[in-house]
Amino acid sequence: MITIDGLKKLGVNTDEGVSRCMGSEQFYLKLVNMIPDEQDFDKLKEAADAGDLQAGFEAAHALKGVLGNLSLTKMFDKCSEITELLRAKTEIDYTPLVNQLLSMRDELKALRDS
Amino acid sequence: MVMTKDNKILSGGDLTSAIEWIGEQIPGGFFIYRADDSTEILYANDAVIKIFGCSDIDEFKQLTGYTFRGMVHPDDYDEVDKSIANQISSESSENRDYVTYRIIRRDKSVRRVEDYGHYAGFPGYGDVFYVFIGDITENYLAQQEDYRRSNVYTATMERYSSAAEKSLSACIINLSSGVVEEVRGNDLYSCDRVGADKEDYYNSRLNSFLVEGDREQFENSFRLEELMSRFYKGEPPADMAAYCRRESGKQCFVRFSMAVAHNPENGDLMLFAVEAEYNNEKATEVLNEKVLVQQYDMVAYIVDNNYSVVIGDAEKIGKGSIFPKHRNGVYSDYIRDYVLETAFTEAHDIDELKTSLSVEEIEKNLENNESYTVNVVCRIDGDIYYKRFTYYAVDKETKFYLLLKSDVTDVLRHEHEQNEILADALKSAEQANAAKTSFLSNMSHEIRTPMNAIIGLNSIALRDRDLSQQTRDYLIKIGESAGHLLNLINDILDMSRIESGRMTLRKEEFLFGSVIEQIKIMTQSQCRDKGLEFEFINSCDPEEWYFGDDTKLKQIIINILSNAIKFTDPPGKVTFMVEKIAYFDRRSTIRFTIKDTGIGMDESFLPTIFDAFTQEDSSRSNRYGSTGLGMAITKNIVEMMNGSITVESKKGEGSTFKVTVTLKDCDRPGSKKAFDSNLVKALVIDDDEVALEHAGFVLENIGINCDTATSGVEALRAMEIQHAKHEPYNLVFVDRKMPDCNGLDVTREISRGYHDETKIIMLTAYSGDDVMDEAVAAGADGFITKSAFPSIAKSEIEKVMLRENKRRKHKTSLNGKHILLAEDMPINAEILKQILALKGMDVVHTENGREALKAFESSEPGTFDTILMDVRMPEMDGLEATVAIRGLDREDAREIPIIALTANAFDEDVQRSLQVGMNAHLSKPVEPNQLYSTLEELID
Repeated sequence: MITIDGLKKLGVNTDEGVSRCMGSEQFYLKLVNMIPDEQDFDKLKEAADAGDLQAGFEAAHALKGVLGNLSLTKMFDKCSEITELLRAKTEIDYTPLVNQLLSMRDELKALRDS
Repeated sequence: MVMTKDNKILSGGDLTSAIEWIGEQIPGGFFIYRADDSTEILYANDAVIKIFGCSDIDEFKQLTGYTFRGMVHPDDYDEVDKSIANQISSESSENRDYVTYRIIRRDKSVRRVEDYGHYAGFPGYGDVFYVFIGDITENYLAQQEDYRRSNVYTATMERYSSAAEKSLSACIINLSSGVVEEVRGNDLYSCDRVGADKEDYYNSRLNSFLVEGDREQFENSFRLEELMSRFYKGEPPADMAAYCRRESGKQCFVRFSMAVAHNPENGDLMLFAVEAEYNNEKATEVLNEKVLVQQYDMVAYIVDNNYSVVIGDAEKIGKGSIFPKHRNGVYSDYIRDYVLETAFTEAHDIDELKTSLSVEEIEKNLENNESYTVNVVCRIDGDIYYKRFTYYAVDKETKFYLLLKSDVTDVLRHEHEQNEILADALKSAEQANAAKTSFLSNMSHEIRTPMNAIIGLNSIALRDRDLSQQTRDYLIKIGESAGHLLNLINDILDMSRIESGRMTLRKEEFLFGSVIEQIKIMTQSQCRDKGLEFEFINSCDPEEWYFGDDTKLKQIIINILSNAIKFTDPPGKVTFMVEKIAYFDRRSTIRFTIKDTGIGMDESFLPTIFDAFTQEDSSRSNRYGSTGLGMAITKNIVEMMNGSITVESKKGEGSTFKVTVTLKDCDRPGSKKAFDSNLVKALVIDDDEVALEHAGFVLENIGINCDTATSGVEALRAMEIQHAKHEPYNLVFVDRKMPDCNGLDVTREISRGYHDETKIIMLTAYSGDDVMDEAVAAGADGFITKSAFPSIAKSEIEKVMLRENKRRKHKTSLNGKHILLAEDMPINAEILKQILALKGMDVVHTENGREALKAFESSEPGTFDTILMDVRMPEMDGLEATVAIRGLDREDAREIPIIALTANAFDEDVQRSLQVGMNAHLSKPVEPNQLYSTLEELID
């Protein structure tokens, strides 16, 4: 189950996230619970595998906004890094970066399903 | 057998029946009662029963309880009892006592009876009183009346005697015998002598009147019936005043006063007639009636919340009167019904006015003041009247107040007209003067531009090393003269500003220490250059902040100090002393003393030292390079500051100037802390790259990071972007002179668009009030000369940044506003909905641009107050959607605010969204407060 303490252990700035949810922890946690199922993670993975920079950018960009809103700081930073590289159409192998992001997602998922 | 006091022996039974038999025979009242506490009546004859208004003995018994005590009026019994006891114990003849007392008859009427009683012991009765009583009510009253009349006679006589002392004439005339019996006074008629006929007395008076009608009044006022009636009623003497020519030839107002009284001794009717001079009293009377009436339409006194009109006549007062209907009444009722009722509500708060006019308020105000005035504006029948209520305390202890009410409508109207005439005259005079001043000012301004060229070129020419010594000398002289001319022009400009009233004092917070420090540093170096000793004494706290115009303050002190240096030859000394000489009500009075050991001035010159174009020795002016305006300007500025300037001087010994100004302390919460330079986001606009670099360096030194722009256009673009991002520049430096556009125009542009969020400081090459005024007029908040930039940048920035923004942003309540939201990411949408709902906004959520467009298109115009548009969305992105919405043919399509939301914070993105017609651009993650403030600003 995802709790504020659990998120804190993952380095999430929960104070900021909760305050953006107008102080409602319940509402914040409800939204964070939705993150692991976010389809854009998979879209990003697919695009990275296929080398589709445009599709990758769109997925990464969308994720970035959501992660930022919930102050999932580490994931947000990683996602931003990927977004900016993709925005600049940098031709590199995105797999390691994307995998790092996905493992963070999995960590959150594990916390939720525990 | 019983023994009486005088030892007569009586036998019981015969006696009682004998006494009762006699009792029935005698006509007066007769009764016997026990001489003990019971006072039981043993016998009362028919006459007694009649005196008490009873028809038989039973009624009498019922009325009195058949006791003596029951017969006497309850109020009189104690006295009667005492009197009887007294008389028995004394050795009065035959133990007879006499008292009178009141009784209450059966019909409740009160009568007075006299009572002759005798104490005796009777066989068959025991110790008793036997009493004869009779009703003496009528006699008693008559006697009382005699007594009263005798009193009146005495009182009249006394009054006569005291009045007679200072009288013109005073006579007592016996009307019964018709002759004068007594005469006193210091201006007698020949007939005023003892034994004279009363007719002569009357005739002489009747012939003395000079004014028509007075004779009739005299005859009327002093008719015998009138006088008699006053005598019977116990009223004071009748009187009248009239203007008379007396037998002695004296003409004056005479007050006649007459009273009659019976002489109790012989019953003769006596007339007491007194005549006294009445000029003073008459004058006072006229004063009261005529003068007061003219000044005040009502004079009344107030005591215990009751008023009584002393002077004033409702009938003589024209329309617009608030004169009370009754001459006496309740004061607060009068105020409520006549004053507050008509008070002009646009001029008064009625409750406040009611309080001002209340007795409590009058009392409070008169405690320490001579008078208390309340002005009231009334509206009566559509016209405005001005009333003035002035209160005086007649006696503070008893709270006895005098109210003088006047109508000042005419006075105020007249005053108003006079003022208008004066204002017109003043206006035309001012216009004439303004024309002169404006000519001077314009000319000077025009001359200054070529002067700058002359001075500039002159200094360039002097750099030429190949100049002959002579040419160099010429050039140096040209430079000095040009410099002098420029000073003169600047002074003339200052003077003309003073004269035209365009010289204004800024009211700004400033750090006292920094002003003094700047003056000190400047003076110190000038003294050093000239070889003078400089002494600086400061006893003020340099950390104090004041309100005022520090630039002008500096100007006047430096002006005097430069004079001191100018007119002192080495090895002289200049002293500059600063001290706080008073502190009251958060105002500090500071005295600056500037003392030199220079050439000094003649005493005869001192009075004119502050006049324009006066110098003691005009031949010196060139040597000292003065314009003759400096002191005049200084004095004017000091006066504008409500300060004072004085001078003492002795020829050959030096001068001392003292400037005293009072400065308002200013609260500077946290003023001692440096302001937070991290909060400053600055932009410097200058066409010169080097200048930009320099400015950047200076700002960095004081902890401010800045962006730069080399043109107005570039600057405005940068400002637009930062504004849209809601991270505006809050401080902009604008160079006044730039090639592509004038710094003033840029300032105006920035000020127009961003005044709420941005402070502007103008950088200029030269200083001067006119330059500064232009900058302020264009919207600059501060002003720094480039040369002073490094030294005063920090204090000026601090000053400008800490100043309150006068204009407030326009704000709308967000409650109930309708928001159309286009956001594809559900989580983001959830958060936004939550944020918006918290302020009571209704949100319609769409998942992409196309849906948003559809939702907007199908809504009634005006449904949505604003659109929040994610930029990146599937199907149709925010930019396309915005273009489409703006292109719709409906009235709100072009007006509705559209706010871009994106995770992109790049300037290009911001610009793109502005280009397609969005109004603002917020970056994600969205800060609720930033979103609220953006919405508040954009929604009408």
